[in-house]
This record gives sequence, C-alpha cells and structure tokens, in this order.
Amino acid sequence: MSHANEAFRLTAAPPPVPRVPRFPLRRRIFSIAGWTTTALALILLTAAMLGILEMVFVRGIGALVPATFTTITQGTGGGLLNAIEGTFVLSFGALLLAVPFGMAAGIYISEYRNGWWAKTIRLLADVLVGVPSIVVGYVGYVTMVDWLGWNFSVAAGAISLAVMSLPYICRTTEMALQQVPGDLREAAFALGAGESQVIFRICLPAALRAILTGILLALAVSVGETAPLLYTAGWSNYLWDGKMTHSPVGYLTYAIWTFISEPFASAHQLAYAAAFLVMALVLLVHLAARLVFDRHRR
Amino acid sequence: MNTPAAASKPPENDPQNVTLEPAAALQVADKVVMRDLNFYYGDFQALKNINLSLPDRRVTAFIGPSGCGKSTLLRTLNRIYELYPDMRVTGEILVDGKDILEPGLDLNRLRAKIGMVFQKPTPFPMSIYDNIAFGIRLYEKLPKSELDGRVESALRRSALWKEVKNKLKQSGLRLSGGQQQRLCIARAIAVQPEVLLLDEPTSALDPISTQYIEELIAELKSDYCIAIVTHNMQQAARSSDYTAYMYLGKIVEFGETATIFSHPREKHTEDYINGRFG
Repeated sequence: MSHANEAFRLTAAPPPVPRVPRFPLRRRIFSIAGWTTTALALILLTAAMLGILEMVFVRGIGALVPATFTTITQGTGGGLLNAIEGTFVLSFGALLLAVPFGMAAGIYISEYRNGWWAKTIRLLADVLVGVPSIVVGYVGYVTMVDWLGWNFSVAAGAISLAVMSLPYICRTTEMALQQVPGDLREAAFALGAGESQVIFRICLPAALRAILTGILLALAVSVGETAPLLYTAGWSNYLWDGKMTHSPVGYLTYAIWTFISEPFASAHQLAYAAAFLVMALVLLVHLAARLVFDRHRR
Repeated sequence: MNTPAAASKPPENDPQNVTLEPAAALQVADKVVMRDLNFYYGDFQALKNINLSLPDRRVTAFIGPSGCGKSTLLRTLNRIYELYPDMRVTGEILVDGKDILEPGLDLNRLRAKIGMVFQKPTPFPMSIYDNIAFGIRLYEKLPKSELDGRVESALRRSALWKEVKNKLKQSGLRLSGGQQQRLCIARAIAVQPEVLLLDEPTSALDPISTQYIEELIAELKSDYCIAIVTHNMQQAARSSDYTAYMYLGKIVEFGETATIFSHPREKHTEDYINGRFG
C-alpha cells in the first residue's frame, strides 16, 4: 500500500532534477570557443549595421525637407519627387510581371517535381539568381533599349527588374508549396478533388503566407536595385509622362549612385535623402509583410 | 450515387460491449471484393495475393504489426497511392461488382464515392463550414439553404454540431485535435460516400476523443461499409464486426471479430492479439 502511495506521489510531484554532470574539458573548450566566435560575429555585424544605419538615418533625416517630396530634381539640387514616383512605378511594374509568371513556374515545378521540364526550369531559376544584376541590365540594354528600340524607358526597366525577381518568386512559391503537409493534399484528393482544385483551393491558400513573404522580399530587392536600371530606365529629372517606352524615368537608387560622387553639397543632400528613403521603404515593406501575415493568421 | 438510408438509427451501440448481430439471419452483402490483389512499391511487394470481401453496413478492422500492409491495402481501395510514382497494383477490386482498378476510370468520382480519414487530422485551411462544404461543392451545385442543411447534418452525424454551431465561420485549424478529426469524418460523410476508409483514425487522439470517434463509427455503420486500420486491439474488438489479421503483406486470418479474438484459428493471430510480438 505504501508502494502505491509512493508511485502516486511521484507522478503528482516530479522527482528532483538530477545534478548535471560537468562536461569533459574538451567539450568545455569547444563550447567556450563556439560562444566566443558567435559573440564576436554578432558584435561585428551589429556594429557594421548600426554604422550604416547611423550614417544613413542621421544624414538622411537631416537632408529631408518638405521640398524633397514635393519638387522634382533640378540639376544637382531640388527634390526627389520624380525619383520616388519612378521607384514605385518600376517596382510595382516589375511585380506585376514577375508575380504571375514566377508563381506559375513555381507551382509547375512543385507539382511536377521530377519531370524533365521541372528540372530544367529549376536549374535556370538557380542560374538566374546567380547572374550579376549588371549583366541583366546590360542584356536589357542590348535587347530592349537598343534592338527593340524602346530607348530608356519604364518598360525596359520594369522588365529587367522582373527578370531579377522572377527566380526568387518562383523558388519561394515552390518551397512554400512543398511545405504544405502531404496529408493535406492527400485528404483533398481523397475527397474527390481534382488537381487544380487541390492546388488552388487547398495548397495555395495554405502556402499563401510563405509566398507573400517571397513576393514582398522580391519587392524589397527591386526597390533597392540599381544596376539593372542604369542601362534600361535611364534617368529623368521630370515626372513620368505615362509612356511605357521612349521615355526615361528617375528612381531613388540612381540618385544615391550619381549624386554622392558629385562635388556639390546639394547633390550629397539628395543622395543621403534618397538612401534614407530607400531604406525606409524596404523597412516599410517588411513591416507590411508582418502585418499582412498576422491578419492572415487570424 | 446512393443516398444513405434516412435516420432509422440502430439501437445505441455500447462500444464497450461487442454485441454481434445475428449475422446468419441477416443477409450481408459484400460491398467491396478484392481478388488476387498484389501491390508493389517499386520492386517491393507490399500486398501478396489478397482475396477478401468487405461486407456492406459492417465494420471490418485490419490489424497486424507495423509494415504488414494494412494501410497500403486501404490506400489501394481509393487508388490514392497513384499520387506517387513507382506504385503498381495487379488483381481486381470490385465495388458493387465493378472493377475500380480499370484504366480510364474517373478517379475523382471514385474517391468521392470512397471516403477516407487519415491518421493525423487534416483540416483544410478554411472555415469549419467551408471544410465540410468543400467536398459537396466539388460535385453538386446546391442552393445555399440546401448546402447549409447538408453541412449541418454532416456535423450532427459526426457529433460535432453542438460544439461548433456558433462558430462555423471560424478556421477549422483552431479546433482541438479530437474535434479536427471529427471534422474530417464529417467532411468525408458530407459527400455521401458508400465506403468509409479509416486509417488509424484515433492514434493521434486522447481517450475521450477516441471514445467519441468509436461511438461515431458504431453510429455510421448503419449506412456505410467501413474499413478501419488500427494498432489498438481493444479498439478492433470494440468497434468492428469482422477482423482481418495481416502479416508481411498477407491476410493471415479473417473472420468475425468475436471469433478472431476468442478462438483464432492460427497460432500466429493468437500470439499477435495477446501481445507476444508486433
């Protein structure tokens, strides 16, 4: 009887935690070395990041004036309204092109994983990620700006950006779909659903959060790209005239790239203001992503 | 498609107390007949020469050690295995006398007729209502009121209605594990199948939820031909009318549950049931 009581008491109150034995010397050395390396890496990265943030935010906020948002660039001074508008037009134009094609490709290579086509598309997407952005810009220049005769234009710039973000969207879509539990797919098929119903009604909604993350990250990358646009979108001091071709357009990263190397204080002000705006935009995109996901979860 | 017989419920079955109906008196029709069924994963033969019938409006349990082919057998009955490459079946599976292994058969229609519930609850990422309505909408275009009625009756039959009737718009993912599994059963019966395949439906659930599901099975068998795979001997004994004991891809013994559990013909069956291996 006392035995039974004992057992009952033990399940009610857990037994005391046994003392942790000391690890052997070798393990302790490795542990200390590991922690030290990690801490050093953290300090280094944090310092670098804080340095950049400090510079961009302090100088950028100092350079921001109402006129930055209300006037267009005049020579090496003025505002950035044209560049802000151009960045929005180019980035969203790129998304508009890259999202349908990227998601379609991602769905395809996820559903027909082992087919010859899927393997080829996956390989091409991975190669495309590795292509330097300046090369994408140059190819855009040769094909669209020159050969097709579009000149520097929104179309050429947006398509180049779309080419850059296409592989990201494709691969995130694929990975997001792969993370949908196989049980869920099976359950939908077991109810008699067809392939398209399973993909569009079950798998895509389940993967939506992850896919949206990928799309927003691609948007953030687009906002921050410079090289593919230099050869394709050109630069303009004026607001976009609404034409898709034959009309160059301004964008924020160009302002950073060009004006920081000008010998005028007003140009530097513009460059810092543009840098601040790009970083603020990227941050906003990430925050928006969080917000969307939290809504979605609820 | 057969509509399940209306609400003429059998007397309340006590799942603790297996009462076999006088099988000899009642003519039991075979709903599913397997003939010389073989199944291969690549080179590995997972089912060997299965000859077995599942009687209509009865529960047939499949027991046996892990890897013996119980789940595989269930997965041939709705051809869900075809989602994966390198799987092959030979033989015949007759449902109401028609071979479902025939090439060119409409798989979606077949699967709508043969419902399946999995080991892990698999609510779809949508509302409770839409979880149930999903399957119905696939094949029937119903006015809203009628659809509402079908959803409600499926939820009532799976004993979930009282718990969810005020939150039908809430996500199915927010239910508890046991509720999710009952939701999956409701979803399966909402499309009015004729055969219900249950692949270890309670192995991920707590005892209370398990009891609910077993009561549900007893309730549902008045309308369906039910096959259940289980690792739980008591569950097989409690909730089935017939039991098939499988080992290494073969049916070792098949018969009325009471007989299998009290006087098995094979020594092997007896050893497994008594927990001497497996």
